[in-house]
Amino acid sequence: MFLSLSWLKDHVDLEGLSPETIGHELTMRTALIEGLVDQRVGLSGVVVGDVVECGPHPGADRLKLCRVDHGAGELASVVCGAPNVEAGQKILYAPVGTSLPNGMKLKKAKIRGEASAGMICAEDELGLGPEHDGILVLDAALEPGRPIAELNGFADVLFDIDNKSITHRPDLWGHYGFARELAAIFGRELKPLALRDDLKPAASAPILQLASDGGCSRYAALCIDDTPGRAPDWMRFRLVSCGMRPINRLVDLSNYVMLELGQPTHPFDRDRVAADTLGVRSARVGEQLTTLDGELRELHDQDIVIVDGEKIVAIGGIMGGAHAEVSDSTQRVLLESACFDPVRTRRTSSRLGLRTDALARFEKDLDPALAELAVRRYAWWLGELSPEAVIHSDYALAGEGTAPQRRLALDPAMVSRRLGMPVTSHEVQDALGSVGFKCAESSDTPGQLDVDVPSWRATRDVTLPEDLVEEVGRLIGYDRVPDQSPSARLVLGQRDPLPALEDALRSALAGSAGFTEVYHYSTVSDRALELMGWTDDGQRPVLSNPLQKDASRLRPALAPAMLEQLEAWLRHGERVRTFEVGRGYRVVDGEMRESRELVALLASRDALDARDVVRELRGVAEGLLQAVGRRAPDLERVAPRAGEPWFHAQRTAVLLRADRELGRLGAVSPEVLTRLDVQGAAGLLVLDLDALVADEPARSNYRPVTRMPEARYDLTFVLDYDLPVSTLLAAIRSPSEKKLAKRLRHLKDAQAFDVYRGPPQSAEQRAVSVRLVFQAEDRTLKAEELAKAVDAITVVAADLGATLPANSSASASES
Amino acid sequence: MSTTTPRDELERLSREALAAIEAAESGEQLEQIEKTALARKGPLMSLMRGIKDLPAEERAPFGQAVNAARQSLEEAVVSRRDAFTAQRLAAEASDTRFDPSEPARPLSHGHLHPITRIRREAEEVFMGLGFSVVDGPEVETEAYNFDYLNIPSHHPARDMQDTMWLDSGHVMRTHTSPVQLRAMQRAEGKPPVRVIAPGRVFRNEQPDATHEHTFHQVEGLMVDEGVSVADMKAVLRLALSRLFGGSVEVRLRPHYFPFVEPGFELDMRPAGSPDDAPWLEILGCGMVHPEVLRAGGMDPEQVSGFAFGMGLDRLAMMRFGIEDVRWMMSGDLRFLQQF
Repeated sequence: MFLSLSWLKDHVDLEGLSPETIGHELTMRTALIEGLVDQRVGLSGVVVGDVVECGPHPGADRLKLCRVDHGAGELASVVCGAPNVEAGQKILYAPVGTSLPNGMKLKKAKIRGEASAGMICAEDELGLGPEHDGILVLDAALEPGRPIAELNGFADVLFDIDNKSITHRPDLWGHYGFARELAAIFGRELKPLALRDDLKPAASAPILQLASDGGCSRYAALCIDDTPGRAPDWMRFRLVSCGMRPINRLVDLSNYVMLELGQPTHPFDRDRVAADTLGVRSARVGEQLTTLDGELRELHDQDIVIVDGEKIVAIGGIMGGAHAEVSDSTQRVLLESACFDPVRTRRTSSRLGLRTDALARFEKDLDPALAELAVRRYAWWLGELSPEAVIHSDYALAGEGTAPQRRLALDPAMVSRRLGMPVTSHEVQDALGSVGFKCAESSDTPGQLDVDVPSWRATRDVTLPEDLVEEVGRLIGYDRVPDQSPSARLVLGQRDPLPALEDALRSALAGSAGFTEVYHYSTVSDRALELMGWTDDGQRPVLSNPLQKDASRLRPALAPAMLEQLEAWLRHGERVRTFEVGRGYRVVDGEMRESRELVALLASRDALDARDVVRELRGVAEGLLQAVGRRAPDLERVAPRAGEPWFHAQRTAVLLRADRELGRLGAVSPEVLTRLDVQGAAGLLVLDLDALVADEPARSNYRPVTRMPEARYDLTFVLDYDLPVSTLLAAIRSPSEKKLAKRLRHLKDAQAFDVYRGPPQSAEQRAVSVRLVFQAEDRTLKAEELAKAVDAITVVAADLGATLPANSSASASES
Repeated sequence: MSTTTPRDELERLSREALAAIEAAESGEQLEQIEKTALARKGPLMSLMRGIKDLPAEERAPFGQAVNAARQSLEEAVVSRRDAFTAQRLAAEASDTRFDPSEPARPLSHGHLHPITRIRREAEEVFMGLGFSVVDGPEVETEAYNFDYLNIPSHHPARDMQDTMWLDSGHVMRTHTSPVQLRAMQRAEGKPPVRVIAPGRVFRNEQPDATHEHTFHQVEGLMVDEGVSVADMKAVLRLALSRLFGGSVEVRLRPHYFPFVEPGFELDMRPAGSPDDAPWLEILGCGMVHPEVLRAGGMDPEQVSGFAFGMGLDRLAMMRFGIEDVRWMMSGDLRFLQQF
């Protein structure tokens, strides 16, 4: 919303205060001023001119040759193309050198052979109004040479108010409210509003029927006999400056009063409404109205409508109907000034998608007393602007709405406590009094104040003592609040387990594991899921108002967005290692569920064996779990679930702790890679963080270091795929046969460390290398003992079907 | 015919071995010589074994002679080895063939998202002040996102945030403020509560260089007996000073947020700035509204508190000089791998 400085000055004396000071103080005490527009800057050279001569241009029929007195002694010769220019007019003259707000920079010119110095301006060229067809003609009494800045309403300073910062303040949706603030801030006097005081509500006025369903608490209607005419330039310019389009005097004045008081009014063409049967009621389902903007609106039963008899003439608080619009032929006007229900008008507005300046005010909950005030103000202005207008002194009035009254009990000490600085009762009363609150010492509780909230703040803005704390704080100035460290109880600052786990995992992956963290949106495109082969299970939450139609559903998991990017990522680098920590969203049994996940993606442009991708992922998974203090999980081959079509049907495994799943890892399905146009190999690790956070961290398994030397042996076994390496290792670590177990009692560790696929093994087999570590607690093991132990291992392995390769022998790697 | 006596043999062996030691050209050669000449089963030691064939009176002097020979050989080896070491060190010390800009062997490391980095910094700062880190759902009920925060339906304050609604009636949380309620409820009405809640929030608006529909906030809440605006000012100034790596001064401007009363926007600038230096709007804050305290199970007659909310994306943009917020959610590795 824009505020005009000249307009504010109509209501409060701001002499001696710069626009910057005013803007700063408003920002610090009332509402954020987002910007300051000084129209004077672009118009600094523009002055009043007198068209002394106006003759034909010898070279062009449509142009005229004018001599303009602009107060500088010498007359300026100006070529002017406006049809309405005439000798004797007072106009606005822009001399050579002026840079106009529309970007035009005036230079000396020859137009069709005639010298032209400067320009006679139209209002749009000055950025003041919409008109372009003719030059702006001023009051004939103005003397030439007077700068435009001295003309009221012509070159204004505008404050751009952040509307969000006045959402709670119905009183600040007009200039008068801000004038009241400025009066309080600068200790100036707020000028009383000039009102037409011979008006009175009377029975001789049109009959009003307000339905009792609460849509309209106050309705005033004033009859006026007048024709539209044109509002004065300064008024039109103020409207333009504040973002409104001037139309005609009757409509402009309605808008002007709204921008002044914050109270919308609406002029109907009185000859197009049956004023004797004017009423306000709820609309009925199926009713319609063509509004001023030419749209046919379907109405609902919560909408408030204005009717004459049966015919709807306006949607209350939002927009009038086209039928009864004031037009050039209008002779008589019925001016509506009412107080409509904030909630119902707002609902209607959002249903219709129709936000108007009137609605922006009604939804803030206006003081019902404003309705009559606006009638009187409108009538006063009309009397000033249009002396021939007949204003009927009896106006119709209906509804019980009156100025709201609210009294709050306030302990001044509470203000001090809440602000954290000493404030005296006197200061409290001064501050509140300056913006219209009435304070009195409570008769019941000494020291306490009874505070009467002024009606313009009492609808719902100020309802609690806390609201008064804000009033006092802002008016005495928050810069007085000291910066004083609290003396608070000591408490431990710590992370909740889940965020802590997430961060530990992030650190581990982004560390030497070399993964890059990515963030993706919580929605995922339907196309991406289609490419994954996902079939919708109806459990994905759907956005009802998506920004993009294709991304209307929340992601069920993190993997799809990662895979969607894979092709692009592989163009960037030969190897990709990325991860995301985030949430998947599902509706399960009508309940919203957020799953906490970590997804890590490994990919390479090389066509790696999917089994090797899984091996690498397993290394990542185990390293990661170890980094967050968990033991290595058990692994089992598993078929992917329906909800994870991105996993390879045959190359997927589940991470288990006892029976609980901690996550899954697997190669990415070749079909998915093909559909994604990815050449190469990829694998995904998905950790279920809800499960992992519940997984007990491993206890320390520290054992004192044994000082006896270790003996290490590497053995290679050839085994089928139906014998898992894990089974072989388990059998070696704890042989079931007692005799073998005894021979292996010094086996300290057995780990597989490599696998080889290919000749001489058949494709059904692979060679797996295992490192064996032997150690006795109390002595160096003898060679014979070791030989026997290794022998025992080959027996254990052979029992399972794992054999030594034909030409192999155990090798001691170190001793 | 002269017969070689063991003494002669000893002398010859010593001489030859000494010559070989002197002639050795490398540590390896020296080691080889040492192994053969001084080995336990080497020629010198085999002379020892012949000692029993000598007359009794010669045995002891001969043994001593062999030992002496061995010792001198050992000393010769040591001194020769020292010479090699000195030679090698001298050579290395004078070797000028070096260029530190030859390609490095990179230390493998990954990258944390810039928002993660900034969030952690904020967490560390506030944890140091006794705030705990908590989180809450991203898909919220209307009650938690709005109603309990004193934003009733059909109140114009709902327009302050364009909301993403789900067809189930849930909302994508428009701010991290619902976590305030959850944190107070978790405390079961017992102050103190001191938490921060970082997280992802959503607004239904078209992204541009400074707006994203999905972005990140950190919410803060301190509830206790007698918490005041002055406390808030101090805590936030301390925290911002740490976050921005230098002392800052702050100022409060009135602003409307339905869940606080009074409500503020907080501006900051470096401490000691000239009076006309510009202020930077950095966060929204205020004293927790009594209705919100009540919804959190706290008694507004007994306790008060302050809350704040700060955008992490903007913080990260300022810190790293990022020009367009849309990079954050882009997943573009050319962007992410710079952090």
